Amino acid sequence: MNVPVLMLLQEAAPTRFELTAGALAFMLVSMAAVTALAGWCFSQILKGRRHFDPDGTGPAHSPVPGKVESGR
Amino acid sequence: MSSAKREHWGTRIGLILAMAGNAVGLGNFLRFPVQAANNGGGTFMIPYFISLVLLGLPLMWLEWGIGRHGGKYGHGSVPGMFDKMWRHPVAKYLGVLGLVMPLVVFVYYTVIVGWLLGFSFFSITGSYFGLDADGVRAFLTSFQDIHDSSIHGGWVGFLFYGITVFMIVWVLSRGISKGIEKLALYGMPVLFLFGFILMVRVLTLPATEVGSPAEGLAFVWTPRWDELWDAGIWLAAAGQVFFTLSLGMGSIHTYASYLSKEDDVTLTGLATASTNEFAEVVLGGTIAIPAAVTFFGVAGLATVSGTFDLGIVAMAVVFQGLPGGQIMGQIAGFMWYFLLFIAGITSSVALASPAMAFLQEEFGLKRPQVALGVGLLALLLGLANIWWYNMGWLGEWDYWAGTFGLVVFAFVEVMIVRFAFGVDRFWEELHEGADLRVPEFFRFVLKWLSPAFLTILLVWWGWTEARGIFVMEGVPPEEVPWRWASRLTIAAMLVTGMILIQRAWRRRANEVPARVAATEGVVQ
Repeated sequence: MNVPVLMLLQEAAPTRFELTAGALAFMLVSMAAVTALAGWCFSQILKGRRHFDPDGTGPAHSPVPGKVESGR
Repeated sequence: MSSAKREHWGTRIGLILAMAGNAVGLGNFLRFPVQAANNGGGTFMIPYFISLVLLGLPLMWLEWGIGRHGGKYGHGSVPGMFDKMWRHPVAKYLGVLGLVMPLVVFVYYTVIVGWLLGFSFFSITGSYFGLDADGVRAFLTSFQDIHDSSIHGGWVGFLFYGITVFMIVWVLSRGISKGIEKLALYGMPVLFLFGFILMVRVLTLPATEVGSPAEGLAFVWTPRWDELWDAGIWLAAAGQVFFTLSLGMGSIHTYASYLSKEDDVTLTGLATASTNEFAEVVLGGTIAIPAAVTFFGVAGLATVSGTFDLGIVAMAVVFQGLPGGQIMGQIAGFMWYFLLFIAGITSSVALASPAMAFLQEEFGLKRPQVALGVGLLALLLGLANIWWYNMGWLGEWDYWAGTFGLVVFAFVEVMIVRFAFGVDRFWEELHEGADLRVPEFFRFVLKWLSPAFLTILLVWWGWTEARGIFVMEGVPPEEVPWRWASRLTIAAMLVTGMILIQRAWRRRANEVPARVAATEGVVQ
């Protein structure tokens, strides 16, 4: 867990860094990739809205829209 | 096996957040940016994403599948799961790795979580404000070291550890749905909210004479193509993927065991992994290092000697320099340390879960009793970690259980699925109730690449590191006896785990004839 933070600097790397187009592209593409994956997963889950009944004690299926008793 | 009805998750989103809480830990916010900066900058993301696809996701699905399969037979811990997958007497004993290793990690990880709770409190009270980096370092050392009363009383660190253990015991004793799931449902949104606010705050910081947030981002992300073919970078990336998804811990298995065979594990598992990746790449890559570079400069960061130095010491100095005065610094400090505390406590709860499930299901004990027992054990063993912290006790546990142990356990589970249970059979099981058809490519990966990769990793370790680490090369002589004591404690825990497994299976063997006899009595 105690990883040396700057092995890089100890090897005489430059002391000033500039955010180049390459660095920015790597950062944005990486962030976009994981954000898109997470977004896609959650959209699938919300779209699917499968019946979730891990213990098997609930009703056999989710209420069918339009067939839910309103109580009126 | 207890005949009592097993617990279950209340909602799918609760399950995803609890699993994400298990995976999102200190590694996402502290280890990831440091690893990226040290291993090729932006280039690190190439082996990182390849490792995620070839190692992380397949193993993650493997562990979800093993867990749900074991849950079908009433097993929430790995010994029982392995026993059902490989009908061989030795299988259940191999499962001790998924029982004891997470418990070992749980103990020292909770010590660290206690530090973070302490620093959340010190941020609110402004205790470290006015101290420079050396001052904060001394403040932290006195807090960590029970023998050092120069700033805090020696008991202060242990007090925060005790409070943390108490909170974990309380959550565990309330059960899966009312305890662990509730913690995730409230804790994870707070973690992401705090993370997002801190990210915006850091990225909008004005530049100083020594650095700027953009320079910090450049430091983490600038690609160094010449390093791409360095084997060390690929191993570092694979290691990071392994740690960040909490693979080889046994906790994913336990959480997944509370699902039924009709419940999806493929899409839900992927959602969990992607949530963790979001926390790591987006939040983890934009907070700690850009903030530290803004205030210390890249050169100044060279004085930061480790993950905790960055996450605790450097950030404590950063918060003192934030625009808006001390109150803004105190609020930001609280948000940072509390974010890490939430990340840590949700992982701690998950790490204790395999032992909880084992003792409940195999010995018929009640959940509150077991939670209390696990808490007392954590206090006792945690005290050893605190007492001999400066003698390398915690470091040894982190290496053998939290690093090496994970890889060994993953190797064992991959081999059991590969050669005993069968990848094709596993593949069919994995897709029962699935919302997502996993591409066939991953069947090939599970069959050939994952076993090969883990074998290479272990052989490489044995070839390059094993001897030096085992004989403690370069370790100060005064630490050697304590480090051996810490190793022997892990060994003793493994032996105790095996004895408990043996007793549980004997108990099970005695229970079956008794149940049959009782049934025959009723029939007569």
